[in-house]
This record gives sequence, C-alpha cells and structure tokens, in this order.
Amino acid sequence: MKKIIFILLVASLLLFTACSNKEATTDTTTSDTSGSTEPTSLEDVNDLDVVSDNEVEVDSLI
Amino acid sequence: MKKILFIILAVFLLAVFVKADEIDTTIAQYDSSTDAQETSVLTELETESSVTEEQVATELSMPEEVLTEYNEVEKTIGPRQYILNRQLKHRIKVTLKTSEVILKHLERKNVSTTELVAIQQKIKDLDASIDPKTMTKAGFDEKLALLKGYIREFKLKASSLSSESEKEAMRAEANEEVKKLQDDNISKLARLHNRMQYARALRVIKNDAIKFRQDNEKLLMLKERMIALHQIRQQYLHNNATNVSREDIEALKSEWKERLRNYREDQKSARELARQARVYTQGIKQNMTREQVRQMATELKDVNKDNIQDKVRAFKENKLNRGGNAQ
Repeated sequence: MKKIIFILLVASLLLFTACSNKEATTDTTTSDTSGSTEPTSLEDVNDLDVVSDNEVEVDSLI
Repeated sequence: MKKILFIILAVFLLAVFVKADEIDTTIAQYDSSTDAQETSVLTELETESSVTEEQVATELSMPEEVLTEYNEVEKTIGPRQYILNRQLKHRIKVTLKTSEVILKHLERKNVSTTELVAIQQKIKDLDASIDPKTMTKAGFDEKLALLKGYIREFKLKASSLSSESEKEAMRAEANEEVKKLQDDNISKLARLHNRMQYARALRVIKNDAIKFRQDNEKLLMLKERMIALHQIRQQYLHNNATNVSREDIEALKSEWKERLRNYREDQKSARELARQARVYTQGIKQNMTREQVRQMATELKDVNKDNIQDKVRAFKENKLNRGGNAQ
C-alpha cells in the first residue's frame, strides 16, 4: 500500500514538473513573438514614423 | 443717467438670455445627433486603418519579391531601417557611376588617376559590405560616415584636376548616367511603409473613438477632427507621388501632430458637453426648472450614465432644502 502511494506521489510530482516546464516554454514563445509593438494610446502615435525619398543625402563628387 | 443705467441693465439681461439660449441650442444639437452621422466617420476610419500590406502593394504595382523582403525585415531590422539601407546602397551606386564618368574624363586628358581609383575601390568595397536586409542602425551610421569621408576625399583630389567647364561637362554626363539607375522600388517601399504607419496610427484613433462612444459619449464634436486626420492621406500620402522630399515629410508630420492635438482638445470639450447634456436632460426629466437645470449643468461634476439619476436627485433635494432654509 505504501509503495502504491509512493509511486502515485512520484508520478504526480513528475506530471507537475512537466506541466510547469510546458507553461514556461509557452511563456517564452509568447514573449519572443511579441516583438512588434502595436501602439495603443494617442500619445504613442503623436509622431508618425514616415520616411522621405531622400532620407540619405550625400554630396556629389563633382 | 437713469437711461444709461437702464441700457446697461438691458444689455446685461440680453447677454444672459443669449448665453442661456446658446447652452440650450448646443445641448439640443448634441442630443439630436444620430448614430448614423457618427458611425459613417468610424466606417471610413475602419476601412483606411485596416488596409493590408498586400492591398497597398497591389495599388503600388510592387513586385512580389519586394513585398516579401519588406515582410521579412518587419521581424528583424524593421522596414524603416531597410528603406534607409536601400537608399544608402542607391547613393553608393550613384557615387560610383559619377566616379566612372570623372575617371574617364581625366584618363582622356592623360592625368594620373591612381589615387582616385584607390578611393573608388574603397567605395566599391563599402558597397560590397552592405546587406540592406541585415544592416542595423549602428552599421548604417558607420557606413554612411565612411561614404561621406570617401566622397570628400575624392572630390578634393578630383577638383584640382579639372577646369570649371570640364566639370560642367562631367556633371551633365553623370546626370544622364544616373537617371538610368533610377530604382522605383525604393520609393514604393517608402510609400508602403508610410501608408502602413498611417494605418497603425489611424487604428489608435478609431479604437479611441469607439472607446469614447462606449463611455456613452457622442462623437458629434469629434467628427470634424476625425475627418481632418483621415484627410491627411489624400493630402500627403498619394500612392503615385514621386520624389517625396524631406520637407513634404516634415509638413506631414507637423500637420498630423496639430490635427491630433485638436482632436484631443476637442475630446475634452466633448466630454464636458456630454456631462452638461446628461445633467440637463436628467434635470428636465426630474421636473426642475430651466434655470435650476442650467445652474446644475455648471455645478454638478463627476456624473456618468450610472450615477446621473441619483446625483441629480441629490442636487435637486439639496437645492430645495437650501431654498427652504433660506426662506
């Protein structure tokens, strides 16, 4: 009887550890993919990140 | 003297009446605005803000592979840096083409070009070291500084070897050659990027307006401001615009900022008007006189759709009690 309880205890512990690891992996994946941030407030869009055709300007050689 | 006093009194009373009527009219106008009027603006914002990269790319007749690259860099260095990198690469191409024209002219004159060729080689090596898809801002700054240095060096040496008329001839030839290097895809990438940035910003405005309505506020006062923000695209972000200058972009940014500031200010006023209208309507419902209602509209703060009935009732009772005590 004691053996069965011990086995059940170990199995639960293993199962719990496996679940925790899976959760941790999922969390990492989520944070990895959330790189591109979508603006949410009006302050975030106060400055429009737009570019002109001549952002890069250099002198002519002649 | 009596006459003058009478006139002043009459003007004062008239002003009070006019002011009171103004509030009545504003609130009546506010109350009569319909959902249809407001949602039409939201629908326009919805359409513009949900535009996809594929849709814009089709409008711009952008080659598929260019769009694919754009999508790839979105996850790495970002489209803005990618466009700057492509612009830098193009500037290097233009510089190299110009250097070829200069060297050809000098060689025809039997002038020694060894030092200039060496600088040209450095520019070629610089070109080879740039991968627009991976170069970060730090790399970009470094390469741009190097290019500027090489140009300065080349220009200084070449300048002493030709007369003004020769320079003019070289300039004309170089301009012709450079025209052939025109790469429309760089401009198209900038158009796509700008449009997507604008759509992102518009999404924030749209969501803000929706939230505003959910708070049971009407969009009447914000309608014009929302239209103004929406019109930025017609004014500044044409798909077929060529050679969008820095000045155009600065004008666009500053116009956007100004219109957004107006939107935010009007939103504050709209909340205030909504409060007044809520108090006003509830006051009339609870059989208060117009005079009491007007006074309450100025004095009663912190009301929302959930507490308005209780707040107005409390104000009314308080008012009546104070009136009773005074008598």
